[in-house]
Amino acid sequence: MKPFIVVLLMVTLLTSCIAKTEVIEDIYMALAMAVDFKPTHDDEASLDRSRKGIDLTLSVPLYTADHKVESISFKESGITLKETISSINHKSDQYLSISKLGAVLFSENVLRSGIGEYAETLNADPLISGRLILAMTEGRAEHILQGDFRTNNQPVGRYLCNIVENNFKTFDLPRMNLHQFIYEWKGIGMDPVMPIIEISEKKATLAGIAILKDDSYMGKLTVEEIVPFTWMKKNTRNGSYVVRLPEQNTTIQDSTTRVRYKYLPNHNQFNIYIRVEGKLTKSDLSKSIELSEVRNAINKQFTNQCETVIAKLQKWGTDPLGLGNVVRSRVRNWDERIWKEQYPSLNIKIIVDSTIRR
Amino acid sequence: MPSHHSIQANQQIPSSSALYIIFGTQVGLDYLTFQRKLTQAVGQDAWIALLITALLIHLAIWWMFTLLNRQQADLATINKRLLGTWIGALFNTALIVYFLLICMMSIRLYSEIVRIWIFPTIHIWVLELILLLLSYYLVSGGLRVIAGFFMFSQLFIVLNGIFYFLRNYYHPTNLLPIMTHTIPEISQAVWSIIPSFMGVEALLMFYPYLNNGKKAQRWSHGANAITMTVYLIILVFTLMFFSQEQLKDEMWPTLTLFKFVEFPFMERVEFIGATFQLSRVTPILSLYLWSALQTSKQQFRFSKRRMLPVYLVIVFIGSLMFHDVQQVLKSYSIIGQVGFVLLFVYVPLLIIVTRWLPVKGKGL
Repeated sequence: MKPFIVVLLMVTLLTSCIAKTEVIEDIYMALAMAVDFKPTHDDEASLDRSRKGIDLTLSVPLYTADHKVESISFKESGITLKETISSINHKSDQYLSISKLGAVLFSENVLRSGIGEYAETLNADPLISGRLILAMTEGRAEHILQGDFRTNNQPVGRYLCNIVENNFKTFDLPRMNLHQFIYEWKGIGMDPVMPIIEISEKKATLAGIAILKDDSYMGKLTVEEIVPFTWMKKNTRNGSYVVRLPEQNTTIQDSTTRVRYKYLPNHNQFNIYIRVEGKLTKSDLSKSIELSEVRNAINKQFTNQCETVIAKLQKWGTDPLGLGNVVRSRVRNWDERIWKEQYPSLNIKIIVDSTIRR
Repeated sequence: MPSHHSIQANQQIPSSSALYIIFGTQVGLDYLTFQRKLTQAVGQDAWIALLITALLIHLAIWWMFTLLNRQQADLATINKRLLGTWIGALFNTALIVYFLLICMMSIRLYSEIVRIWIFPTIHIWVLELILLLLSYYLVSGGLRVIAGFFMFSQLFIVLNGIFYFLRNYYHPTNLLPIMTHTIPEISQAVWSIIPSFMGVEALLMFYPYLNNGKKAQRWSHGANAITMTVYLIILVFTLMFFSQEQLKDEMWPTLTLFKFVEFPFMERVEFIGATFQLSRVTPILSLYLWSALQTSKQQFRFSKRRMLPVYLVIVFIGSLMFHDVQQVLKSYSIIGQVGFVLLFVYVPLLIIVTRWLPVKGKGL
């Protein structure tokens, strides 16, 4: 019996001796990261990517004794993401861990030149969450992390995540995080998208959606175009939508949308059916409006908006709606190469059907 | 025919324990990685290959019982009986090597999982030492202790309910279109998934310890059916969660699924997912160690208690010989295919031999 007790004690007690411990007070936990090109190379789009080098900024929260949170940032230059992350520790007095990272911002130039290798590096690290938010900003990404926000005593990193999360929840946007990025980037017949974050009036705001082709930036959808894009991509709930009538504007609330696709290979045509159900906002003015008038206005206005978005996407040759993937799942012997050639000239038709209640 | 060596009643295990022992050894650590190999071969048709493989294993279980019921002994004894002292010894040595190799790979694989997913700075050998001490305790307790541990370790099935929380991330269209791959592609996928169903071969060693060997057949088929169901569920979830090209680069699909689940009170669910594997790898390790001991006892009359430390040292040193995870995974599927040869070539041969030739050991 005695040896068993010794063995049992060894198994239970010695396990703590072999792992490096990370005491939470003695490490810095970066919550957000910004990736820029070095300022001197920022405009030289022609320069070879591998020689360009990146500026990496990590935002780390500091919790002070009076329950205040400050955010400090660490900056380091390097060539690859992995190397830069590890060499950033040279400047830090405590171990700097990136396993709690919540958001990564890329400047437009970085995104334009492709972020596949960065995403791959982040995705390969098992300690980094797949829910990590990837976002773009039009200026230098580090300025957002160093921005002076009124953040209600939150660290900047968490604040940025909350901004994006809130937009996702309120408008029921399609998910855009690291996992989704890899899913759409590597998946066939799909292209990824990511939110664009800007500073306005001491607040961070969602300024649109960046449309990517494979892993590089092609162009943006404005805030107004987000709703048509979302409704064409997925079923949504609890949305709202502004309708412009000849005399006045009115809003549809509590809208539920359903989207269906139909591919007609013989006519080179792709139909997107969107069914909208919603409630007219109550007000004195809206009582006089005919429901059929609103319905026709929505159908027309929404179809136009969708067509603008589709025209943009076809011009850029990207497929963030995943239409190719829809066709792949329905047609045997689908060939991605042929599809990509067909896509810009594909006849995409939007059919909106709305039901409005008072 | 009476058993060659009679097992005392207090050492026997109930025939129903074949259910969780076989299920436990089959699912093993493959549960964390099997999706990738399948998708690389046949994409969204992976589930077809999975069903075919399960049927093949049902067949193997059926003829394993045909052999064992006829001989009423374990494989080591059958080898010795049919092939004589020298050739029998050769085959049984190969069997011991096979069992020990599986031990080495599973222990190394588990340690690597802990290193990659939980403690990146850990030393592999320390963890292995602790695991081996634990299995020393289990094996010296005998087969009944191992069987008990197996029953307890199958609790992990409950953990799979967690995947429900990922429902917003599933894309059911990933499973379409059905049957776009050719027969050669599917058979290649079957060949690559066979190692994930290995584990039934341990039955060849512990069969005499079952208190009613014939009844155990039903339980064994049941175990294989459960293995298939569990694999199928995980596979469908994985296929819906990842795009195919993404899955081809994903080394640990199941753990990545766990990683994605987030609770307000629990940030890192994959830690539970990874640590739960400890309770699954220990009995597997112990069962194969025990099988190796049993073989050496039947063939060479080596005392189990004396040989156990020797085998533990061999497993310890052997498992540290691998370079990295990739090599372990590769050898793991090779050894699985050796197991395939054992089940689908060697056992049928033995059946034919015992059917048509007079058996030397008859009447013992």
